Amino acid sequence: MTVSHPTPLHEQITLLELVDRVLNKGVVLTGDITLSVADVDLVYVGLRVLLASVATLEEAA
Amino acid sequence: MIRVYAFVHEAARVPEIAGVDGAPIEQHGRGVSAVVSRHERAAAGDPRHEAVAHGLVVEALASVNDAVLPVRFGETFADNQALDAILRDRDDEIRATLARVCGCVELGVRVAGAVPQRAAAAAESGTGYMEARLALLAERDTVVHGLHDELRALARDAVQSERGGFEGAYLVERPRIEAAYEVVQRFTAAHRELTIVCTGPWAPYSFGGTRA
Repeated sequence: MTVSHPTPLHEQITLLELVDRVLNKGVVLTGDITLSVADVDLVYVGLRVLLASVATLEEAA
Repeated sequence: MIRVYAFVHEAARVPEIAGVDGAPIEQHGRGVSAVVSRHERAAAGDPRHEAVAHGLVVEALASVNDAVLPVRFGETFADNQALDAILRDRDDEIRATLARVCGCVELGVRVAGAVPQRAAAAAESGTGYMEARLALLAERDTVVHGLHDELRALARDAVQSERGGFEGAYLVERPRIEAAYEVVQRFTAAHRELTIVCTGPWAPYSFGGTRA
């Protein structure tokens, strides 16, 4: 039986890209955003790590 | 407290999806309307979960409407009066931006490359490493510019930034999405040394700014 596995790495990238857009893009109305800088930084750290993982996987392939 | 997810036309379809904290979403306002959810108080949950919930509402709206203008996560208003004041003040601008993004999706492209590792592999001395690194960076820039130019030519609008790597967003009319994917695939196949990640289609998050 063939099972097609979703690719968790790409799903994670999509999720982080979504969060990146939601936090940093989109129309600003009041500029009074309740999120801390640390939360936003986490998104970028995650993105960089994931991109590095993809690069490593593709080099190994 | 009222959370705002996006702006749409009054006649827009609002899908059945829960907002942040499971709150129901609804349209508010005439002409241009805001898609909102109402809350007893600010949620104290994980902000990343709330951000994802916000994003899923916006994407659900964009999947059934031609014109959706995403609002940044975290925009909240005390009551209808406060929200109505913004809707009045920004009406012209929101209307114009909705027209600009109508019928389009946003595609995101990031390019990263293992430049330091490759430079180290190619060089035997410190000077050689720096020379190899500069050459590889120049090569990467040439590829990135080529990719960006081709995608920009297909798109209604484009924005780019460098945050540790190239990042581009393209406002692409729906019938041209496949052509844009083909461009990305061609570059990916021709430049295995770079990591080119294309995501989307997204709601047009990067094209809501006030620009002429």
